[in-house]
Amino acid sequence: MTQQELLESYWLCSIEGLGGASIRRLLEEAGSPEGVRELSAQRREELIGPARAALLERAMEKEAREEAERRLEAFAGKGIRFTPLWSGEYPERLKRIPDPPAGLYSIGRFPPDSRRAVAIVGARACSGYGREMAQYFARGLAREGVAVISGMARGADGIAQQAALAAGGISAAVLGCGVDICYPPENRGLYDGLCRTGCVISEYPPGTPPHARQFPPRNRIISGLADLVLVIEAREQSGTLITVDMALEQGRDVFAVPGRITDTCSRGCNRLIGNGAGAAVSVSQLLSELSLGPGEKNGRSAAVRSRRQLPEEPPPLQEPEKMSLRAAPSLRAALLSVLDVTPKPLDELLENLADQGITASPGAVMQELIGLQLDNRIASQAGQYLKRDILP
Amino acid sequence: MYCQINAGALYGLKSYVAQVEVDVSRGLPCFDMVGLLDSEVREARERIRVALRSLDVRLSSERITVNISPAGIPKAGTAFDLPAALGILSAQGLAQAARLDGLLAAGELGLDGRLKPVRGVLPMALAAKEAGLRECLLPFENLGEALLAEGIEAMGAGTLGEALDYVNAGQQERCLRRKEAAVRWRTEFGSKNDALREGDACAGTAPRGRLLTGLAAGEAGREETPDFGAVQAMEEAKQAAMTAAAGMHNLLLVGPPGTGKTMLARCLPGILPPLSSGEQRELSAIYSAAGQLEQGRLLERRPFISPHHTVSPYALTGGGSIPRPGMVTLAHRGILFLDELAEFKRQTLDVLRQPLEEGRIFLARSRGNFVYPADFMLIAATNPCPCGYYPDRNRCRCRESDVRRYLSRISGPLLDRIDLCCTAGTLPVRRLFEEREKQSKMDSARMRERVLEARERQRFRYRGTQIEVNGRLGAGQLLEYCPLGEEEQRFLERAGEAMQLSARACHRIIRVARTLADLEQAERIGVQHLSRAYYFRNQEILRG
Repeated sequence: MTQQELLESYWLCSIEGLGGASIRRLLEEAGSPEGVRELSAQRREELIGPARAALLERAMEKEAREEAERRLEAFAGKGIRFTPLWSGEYPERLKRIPDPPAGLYSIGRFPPDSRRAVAIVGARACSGYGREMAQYFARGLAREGVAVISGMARGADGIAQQAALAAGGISAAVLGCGVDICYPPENRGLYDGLCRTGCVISEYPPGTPPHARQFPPRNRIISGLADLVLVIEAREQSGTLITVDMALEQGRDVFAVPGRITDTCSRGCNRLIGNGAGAAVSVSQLLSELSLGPGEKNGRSAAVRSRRQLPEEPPPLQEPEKMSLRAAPSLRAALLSVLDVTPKPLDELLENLADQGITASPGAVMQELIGLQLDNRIASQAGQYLKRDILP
Repeated sequence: MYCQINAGALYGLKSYVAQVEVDVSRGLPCFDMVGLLDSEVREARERIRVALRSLDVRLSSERITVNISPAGIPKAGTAFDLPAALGILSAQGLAQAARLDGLLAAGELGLDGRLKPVRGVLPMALAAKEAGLRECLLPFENLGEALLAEGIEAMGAGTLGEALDYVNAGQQERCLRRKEAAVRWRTEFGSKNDALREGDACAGTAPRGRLLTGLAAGEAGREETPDFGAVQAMEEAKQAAMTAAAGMHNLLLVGPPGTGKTMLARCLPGILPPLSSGEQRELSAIYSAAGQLEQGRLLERRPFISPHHTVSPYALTGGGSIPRPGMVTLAHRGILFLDELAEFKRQTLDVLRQPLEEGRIFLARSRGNFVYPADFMLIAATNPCPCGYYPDRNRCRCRESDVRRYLSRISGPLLDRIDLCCTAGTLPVRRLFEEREKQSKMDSARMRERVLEARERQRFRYRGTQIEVNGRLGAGQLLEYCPLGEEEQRFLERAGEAMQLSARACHRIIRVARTLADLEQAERIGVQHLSRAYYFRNQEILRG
């Protein structure tokens, strides 16, 4: 695509009030952005209605076109790229969704079309379990060269992308604001990392501040960029479920990480599984799911597959502390067996130990907890303790 | 004619003997009071003029000048009514001037000549004793307080007439009247106090002469102190409470709402060592000056002061041009409990920095500079996040940033002075209904015993120094009294590196470890003590 073509495309896409559908209709008729200008005023009005045609009319003035040129140059200076739908660089998968954005703004490189991609999404207020699972799947998939797509949101999204980058994989974040804005601000480090080694994408022009109404539409891009959508944690009325709806509309497979039925954070996931989504139980299961060509996938529903294809092996748990059967287990081993991925306070741990027939003084348990934490085996959260790195 | 009489005066928390000088001489008839007086002292003129009529005495149409010396110290309060009235009577020849020698008078007058109680009688009586005076003449209701001073005679009069009769009486007569007043006082108030002491209900019959409306802080301590035995589970918090009590460490309780943080704090006075008689006198004098001492009883329990989170900085430090003692001073040698710490205004909490550091508070006011004692143990409680349930994600949906923001509202310098932090109140409901056998063996009696033993060890260790408890051990003396072995040092280095501990945090850990060792009757600090002390700092809120 030549610079001139790019400029013409940007000019067309940057017209305020002109949506993706209108732009597509115009292009179908005219063939190229330049062609749009040559359409008769009457034809334009027929295609997109009088109000939008008036906007287009105004944008055709010389000043407006020069302004567009200046802006495009300014973006390039900031490292922001513009890719129109009709460009060869536009992600192939995204092109085929029902309502693809007319143009994408991005920093960094799009994940290559040849790579498989998984969207990992989940609750913003995620539990310790959600954190662990997001890290486990993102890390495992990234190591196998699968691109991790997400929304850089608080909670599961950001954690997954962080883990993918840390594992040396590729990751792309789709934002609900301009790509030059880091939202949420606490994910600054992740944003910088993605700009350097991953990709930040948005359909909104740079400088657009985050706004609640912009987030649901961006979810269609997240699922659109991926072959498969993996839901880590979702509550019953979660925004994550919007992404799932979009994914189903686009014909993507949906997997959810099952959780305990008592955990409100897992309710949405368990319901998805009940409704036919696949139960994500290991990285290798997802990998084998992905190795099926996209063409073959379309016919079957996820539900059929999840029933047919049970995971070959559960994720290997880390070696439990060695303990002989005869001797009473050490306090450390017993403690590790009662610690969980959800944080537990000391009193609950004492109670769990008592249930196992182990009486330990609170002081001894405190000491052991600190020892385990210094050894990096467990973590603390607001004075409660949880296991970390349960999965490799 | 000139006459002089000793009066009890209060200046901040300190009492001294002031002289009320009265001169009645020829001139334009008027009645003046001078000596750097606040308006309530100057208003005494009207009260005295009318009260004297109850004795059928009219002020002579001469020039009456009353001076309260030393005239350079600001005077406030209503205790000068009685001495000024007696002075005038004496100057007019109605009271025998010679018999005013060695007598200290204090009291407020009603228009009908009745004497009304005043605050600060106990420190006044102590000051009179120190000045070598023989006896005090006080409102009847205040008699009990003066009796506590011991070593000075005290007379309680119900009316100005009674007071005048007493002054004019001879030695023997006076002695009789004093005894009779003491007996009368005991039957009227003492019995009620005894009844209170035995726990009889006497609601609605609060002793006459109470100066405060509502429940005085001193009396709040009289409420039944709950027992730790009734607190179920919460082993961690109990350990922390016992450690805090043993070493006078400041404690922060973090936990969900309605699960017993406040209950736990209320249990704490029950395991603190009892007040020594010297401390009782010191505290009672403070409460008397604040007008909050209960009738005729020394303060026997350690104060437990729990201000609401809307409290103003001045209520905490002590407000007024001659400041009344604030919450920090009333909590002296006791507990200051701040519930819902994150709800307190930052500037309110910041005033606690000096008392926490130095055990006293300096107040600079237009009327002078005051230093009040404020050596208390700080117990604070807070929710871990705005909704209170973090990190239980089944209930808490607060964003991580909201959690951080909530806790960051608590002033950092204040958190710096917190030694122990623990999670409190995560008891599942089903545990509430389990049988009593399953309940904790840690009750207040057992805990108090261990606290006392630990205190004894500390007293022995710090004999001959100003230090009493580990919590007040300065950084300079830390390594002298708390030497660490090689293994212990290695542990601290490791923990310090892993959790980025500051030097100050390390010092606090060592101090708490010393207390933990004292609780176990251990001579040296071991790794087990250090790691437990570390456990009590292992919260994001203290790591900053």
